[in-house]
Amino acid sequence: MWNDRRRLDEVSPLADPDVGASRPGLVSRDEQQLVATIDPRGTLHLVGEADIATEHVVRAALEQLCQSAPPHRIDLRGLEFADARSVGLLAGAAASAAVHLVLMSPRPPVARVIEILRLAGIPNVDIEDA
Amino acid sequence: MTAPHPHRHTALLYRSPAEFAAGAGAFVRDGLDGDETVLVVTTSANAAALRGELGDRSACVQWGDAADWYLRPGVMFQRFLDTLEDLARTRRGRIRVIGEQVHTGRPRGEVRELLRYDALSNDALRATGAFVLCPYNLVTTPPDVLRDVERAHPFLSRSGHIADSASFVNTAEFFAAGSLTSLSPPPSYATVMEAPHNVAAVRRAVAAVGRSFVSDERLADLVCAAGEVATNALTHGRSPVTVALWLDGERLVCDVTDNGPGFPDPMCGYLPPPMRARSGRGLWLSRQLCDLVETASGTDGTTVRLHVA
Repeated sequence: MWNDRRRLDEVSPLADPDVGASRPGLVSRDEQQLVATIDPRGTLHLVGEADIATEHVVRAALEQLCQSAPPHRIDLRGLEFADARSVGLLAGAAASAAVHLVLMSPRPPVARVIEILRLAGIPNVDIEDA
Repeated sequence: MTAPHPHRHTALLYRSPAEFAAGAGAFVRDGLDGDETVLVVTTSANAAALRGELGDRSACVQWGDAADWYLRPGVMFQRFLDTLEDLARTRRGRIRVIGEQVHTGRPRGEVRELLRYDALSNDALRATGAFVLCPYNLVTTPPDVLRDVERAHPFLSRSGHIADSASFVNTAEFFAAGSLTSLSPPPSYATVMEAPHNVAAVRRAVAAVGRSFVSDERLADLVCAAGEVATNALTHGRSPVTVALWLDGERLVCDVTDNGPGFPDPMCGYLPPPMRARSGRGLWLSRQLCDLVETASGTDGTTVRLHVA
């Protein structure tokens, strides 16, 4: 039932669903829950909440981000929540030697998951606070 | 007194502070004599007795307070793993650890978890080559807990004598035997959410209902853990999934129940997942975030119970 996105009726919109629709650089978005855009300077912005329902959004965005040369910057300021799976996707992307992730300004709940899952311990991951 | 080898994981069963100090003192002195690194985590009363026994040499020991180290079972275990790994990397020679769990005044569910981690030490600490001594007070330890202590430790030390534990079992067997088939049902005043559409709905419900019962930080931890457990239930479990939330004393408790058979491995989520594992992080993360995580699987389905204070 969780993947029937027309029934996300209990989810209060965190990001305006129309945001990004006309925004240049939009990579992908899940209705109401997560918007991923890459700005002209190549930084990926994640806005909303990342969990199993938005795995495809993060996956697609990472794929596109990592096609350019490192460092691969991800702005997490607008990310209100990330589950273990989403943070695991970041760790998975950093498994490639050609990837150097810079995670910028994670909010407390996201920083906590990043810390417990020890992303800082991965050589090609940097975490920058605001 | 010299310890038989290998002094890998021994329960020190004592009846008085003096008996504790004698057994622990011998263990520590053997280590210091061999230029080993010694970490002692125990109660303040036992620490005082041991300091008296060691005299000046107590300054060569690293001390930790059991009340602080053993507060949350999952966090405790990770702290021991990290500390031992650090010491193994930075110090030469063997590491000796005394770790005393404090059970007084704690619910059985917490004691069960602490003992499970103690059993897990047999395998998890082997790579560090550490010698581990786990003191248990025979006066305050109930018989059923003592039986588990004897099952979790390959060696037992009583009154200065160390012997094999006749009832020692391997970790998998220890976990299997201690697995629960049910937990007490949520109280009638619990807030219940039936068949959530998705994980985000579970997080919102927990955040809304739990507000003002615990600090914002602890609520955020519970919201995250509930999301992880709900993700498991909604992807691997069988519908219907039900979430219940209630206040138990000062603790906020959250049940996530599904109709499925539960986890394939009772040791699931107790050890840190490999850095780049594709799955298996959720339950482990929940054990780092919560004060206690309990699981039960039976004919009624599977329940994961999360506690935060």
